[in-house]
Amino acid sequence: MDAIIQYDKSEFHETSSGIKISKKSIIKGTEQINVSGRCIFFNDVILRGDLAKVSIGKYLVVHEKVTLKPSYTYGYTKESPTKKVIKFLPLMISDYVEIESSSIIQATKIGTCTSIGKNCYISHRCVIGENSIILDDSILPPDTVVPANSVFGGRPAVYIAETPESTAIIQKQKLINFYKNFMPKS
Amino acid sequence: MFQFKKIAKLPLILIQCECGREFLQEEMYCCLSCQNSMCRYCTSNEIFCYYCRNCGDVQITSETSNLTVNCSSCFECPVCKNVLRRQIDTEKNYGFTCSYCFYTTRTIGVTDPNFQQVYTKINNAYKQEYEAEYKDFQDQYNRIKSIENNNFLIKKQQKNKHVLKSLTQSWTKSEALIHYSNADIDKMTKEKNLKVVLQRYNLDLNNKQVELQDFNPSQQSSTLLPIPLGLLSRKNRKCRKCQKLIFTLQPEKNSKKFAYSVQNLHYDHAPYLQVGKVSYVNKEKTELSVVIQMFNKTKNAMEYSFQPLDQQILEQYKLLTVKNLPSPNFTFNNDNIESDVQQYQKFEAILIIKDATKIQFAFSVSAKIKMPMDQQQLNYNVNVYIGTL
Repeated sequence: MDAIIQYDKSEFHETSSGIKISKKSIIKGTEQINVSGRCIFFNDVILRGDLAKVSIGKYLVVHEKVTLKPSYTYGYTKESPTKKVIKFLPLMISDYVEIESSSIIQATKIGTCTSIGKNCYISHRCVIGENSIILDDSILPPDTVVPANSVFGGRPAVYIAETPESTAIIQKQKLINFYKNFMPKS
Repeated sequence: MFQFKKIAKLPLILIQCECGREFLQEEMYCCLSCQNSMCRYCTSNEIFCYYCRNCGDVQITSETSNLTVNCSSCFECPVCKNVLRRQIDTEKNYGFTCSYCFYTTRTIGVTDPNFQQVYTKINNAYKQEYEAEYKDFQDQYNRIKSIENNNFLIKKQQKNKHVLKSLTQSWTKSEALIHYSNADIDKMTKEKNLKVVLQRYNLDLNNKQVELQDFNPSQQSSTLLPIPLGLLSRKNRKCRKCQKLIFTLQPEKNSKKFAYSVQNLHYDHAPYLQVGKVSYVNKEKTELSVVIQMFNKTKNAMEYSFQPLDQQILEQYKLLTVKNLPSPNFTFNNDNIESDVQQYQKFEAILIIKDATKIQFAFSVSAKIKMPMDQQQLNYNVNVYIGTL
């Protein structure tokens, strides 16, 4: 039995594809942001689409005070072939992802059916595989690769355990039920 | 392996395996030939391949004969256990650095303009450090083996154990090995290796808890060598009784990913249970009503029936008695697979509370799956935890 969460309709925008965004969240560069549908963004979420392209899958749940920011590298461009310049990399978040409150994400790719805990810091150019779990209060240093079906945690985050084969089913059910039970007050 | 029971919120429905352990419905496996649902501890693992968690290099056990324990191109920081990355100096010398603490291989002197030379330098440094100790240990091991293989001395050993003592007294560092046989030495080395792995990840087997590290980087440079990154493994699952495969892996073409070719979850062959409403019936709060919903999430039609548990088991585990369990068989026809409307049924269980702080009740289910060839049947016990109200 999942608890029903009711919200004020006046505090949330709702699109035709089922995206529910809080009016207190800060979203920049909406032209470069591509969302599939049925996502929930709670209060004080910062989504920086002005730096690089952001593509988001379906059934994403982003809790309070989360910042989603594309990562960067130093490299040469056509405009400056001799001097190294900051280049921002696109951010890709797949389907059925849950991001808990107060975490900062600067990864390049987050795979399907993953869950990221509270107060996490995921640094630049990290790649998180599918069906993986990142525990609360963990810090992923730059350039870390989280393989599929794994649990990472600690400071710095280290491989801890393997996830069972049914994590995809559990995560999908959890997020679909969460979205269904997130209803406006009648 | 991670267990979702620790994260899950109350009210919970857990399935009890024959071994007594409880797991979520999605975490249980089923063997159709044994007609039994089982947990991960009742299955055996078979290693399919080894892979590096950083670079993704794969070594399939059936194909390669020379398997290695560590990755040849990835290293771990000896201070904070983070994976090291390549670095180029201003003088164009390659080396390794840790992006979390201040460790670099420059402090050890392991840098080179040719990157492959860096690997050889690290390997040579390891050889020099451990070569002397490894030789000593190997010599002692070979001497003890030669003594035990000699039949004449084995008979004497059985009568007089001090014979070995006199022969090995002149050796250095051998006092600990005098009283042990070959099998004991093997055990000791295995335990030592286990301890090294456990210490690395701060795992405490006695308490079965994991201590997460909280490392504060300091500016003091260390003189330790980088540790070769250990390989992880992907496994197939087998039933322990009949040795039939429950989960098998298959590599995908042109990618480093793996897909499951055979998968038998309890979830795919049994009705899925979910707790609905929980409320008190009396003003005195001695009776509780719990509504349980059942879904058919399989591809086939299903027949199932409930049986109440014996009173002995109820008293042994201090479970509450259940009223209103549905006795006749239910049939779930899954003709509406294409439509989004899910068929479900519900029943209401009324509990009689007897000074219980934690509310928990149980029942047993037998489910018959109508597959095209045979009727397969699963029998299992369900425990429902509601918590305190």
